[in-house]
Amino acid sequence: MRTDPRRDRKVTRSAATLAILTGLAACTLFAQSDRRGSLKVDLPKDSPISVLNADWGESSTAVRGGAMVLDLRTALTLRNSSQRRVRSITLLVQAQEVTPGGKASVSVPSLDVGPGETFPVKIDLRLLRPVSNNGGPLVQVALDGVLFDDLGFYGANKLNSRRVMTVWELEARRDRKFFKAVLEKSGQNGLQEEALKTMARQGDRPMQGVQSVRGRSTNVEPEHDLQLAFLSVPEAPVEATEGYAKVSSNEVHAPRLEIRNRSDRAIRYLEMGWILKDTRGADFLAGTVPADLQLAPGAKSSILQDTTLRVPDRFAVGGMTGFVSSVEFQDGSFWIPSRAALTDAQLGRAVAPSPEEQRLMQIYQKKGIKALVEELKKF
Amino acid sequence: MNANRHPSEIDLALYSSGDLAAMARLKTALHVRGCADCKTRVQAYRADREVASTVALTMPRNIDWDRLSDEMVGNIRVGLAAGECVAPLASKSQPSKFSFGKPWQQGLAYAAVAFVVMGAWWLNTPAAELSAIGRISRALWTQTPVAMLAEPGVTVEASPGGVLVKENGSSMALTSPGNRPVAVSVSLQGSARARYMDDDTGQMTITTVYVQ
Repeated sequence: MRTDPRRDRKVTRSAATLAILTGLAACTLFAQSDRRGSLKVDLPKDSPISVLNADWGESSTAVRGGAMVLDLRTALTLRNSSQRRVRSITLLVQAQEVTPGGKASVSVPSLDVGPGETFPVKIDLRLLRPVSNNGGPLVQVALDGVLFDDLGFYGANKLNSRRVMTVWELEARRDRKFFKAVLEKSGQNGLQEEALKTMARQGDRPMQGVQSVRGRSTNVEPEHDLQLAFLSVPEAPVEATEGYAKVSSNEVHAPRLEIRNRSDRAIRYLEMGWILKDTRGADFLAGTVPADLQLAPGAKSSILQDTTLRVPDRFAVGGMTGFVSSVEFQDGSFWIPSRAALTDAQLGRAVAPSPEEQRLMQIYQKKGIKALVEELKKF
Repeated sequence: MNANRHPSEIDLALYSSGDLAAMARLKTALHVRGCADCKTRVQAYRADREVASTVALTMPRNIDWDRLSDEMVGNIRVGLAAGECVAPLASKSQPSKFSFGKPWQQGLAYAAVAFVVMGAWWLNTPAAELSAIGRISRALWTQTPVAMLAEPGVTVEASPGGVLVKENGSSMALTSPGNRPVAVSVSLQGSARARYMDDDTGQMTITTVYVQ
């Protein structure tokens, strides 16, 4: 029996093409299932928030040498299943297999989600890990907390999200009240003028990369003690009296502060903001020093953090100025700087704008003054 | 025996000195044994070789060794000088593929290779290690005493690129593709935070990484 060589080659080519296409399809399906299996969202049964939809978007996996880079682009659509309005939410993100000593969170503040309404939460993660994998979900997403409009809270609160979200909400209320007052007093033109001033102040804040390392530093240069300076906030319930930190080039290590409670209420938590100044005079808000403490009225205490703050190499730390940014009293109430205190030029420049202030300015910048007025009228 | 079948003169000469290949030697030996002419030729070749060897081993008389040495040295120098004169023309007309040129050109070539190697190393070395090497080099150069040992642990970082927690070569980063944070900060309790604004929805998202 004779065979046609051309026909044979054609059949072989078709079979090869089919095999390649089948392989590619299998890889795509595997990658898709791998991505879906990579992230698990786990909410409690009695959660006031439920997952309506999960979009896996453009997630991808790539191998680079001995490491695997996993990009997870997830958009969750969540529904408010409670009877109260949701103001903010924090999701706990953990990758035990990748970084057992670290965890992450995604928070959405400044929300106004009514009962039954939905809202999106985007989780864009990049994981770098060894190629070997023991299986199982790489990333677990859980609910850490939900803050309602009555400042009520639901959640495991493993990340102290109740405190953080309450401060954001109080700052949001302060700033909305301020802009509403400007609108009532000076109309749209006055509000526009204030928005421009606020945006100029926000734009005047340089952004630098900063690192925080627990324990010893990796720096090899000798340290010296730096005396810390403090911005006076007359209305603050806490006063910082003295402070030192060990400084070496671009690192600040183990800051220690002496503080005094000058209010008539006991304090259980304090957060101080820090401005770093380099030897050439440039400065930026580097971070915060939070402290859990028990401070009776009039009592003094020390705060010591065995941590290192590291800024880019080009920045040589020449000075450090602190200010009280928030206080939680024993009774669960909070103190934050008022808008009046923020009118002080030095303090106004040092204190970070609230998430709500930034959101309102974004609305003005993108949609104009009428959209800002409409937003302020909502609640 | 047919004359046409006589081995050639070359084969006979080689046979006489034992330099013929094995098969040809066997064939020639059989022929020489039965052929008087060829046998005579082979014997003549052998006799000539012996005479030539004896002459070569006997040194000529009255040789002036000093003069011979001077002549040889002189010839070598003349040859070297002639080579120097011809070399530039030869290198211009036919440049060698493997020529490294003049010393400064060789130096330049070595510098270029070193630059490429250093560049590849620099680009492939993690920034943290480069930074540590730079600091150690500075400390050694300035004779500054080394204060602390390197001990990288769990690190959190906030930068315009997002927030990141690093541990043992693995990392988890929270990013926002195509979107720069509107603010970043670090807490000395061991956390780093970045704020993002969604241009489309106006929704604020705050990402944080923590050291446990």
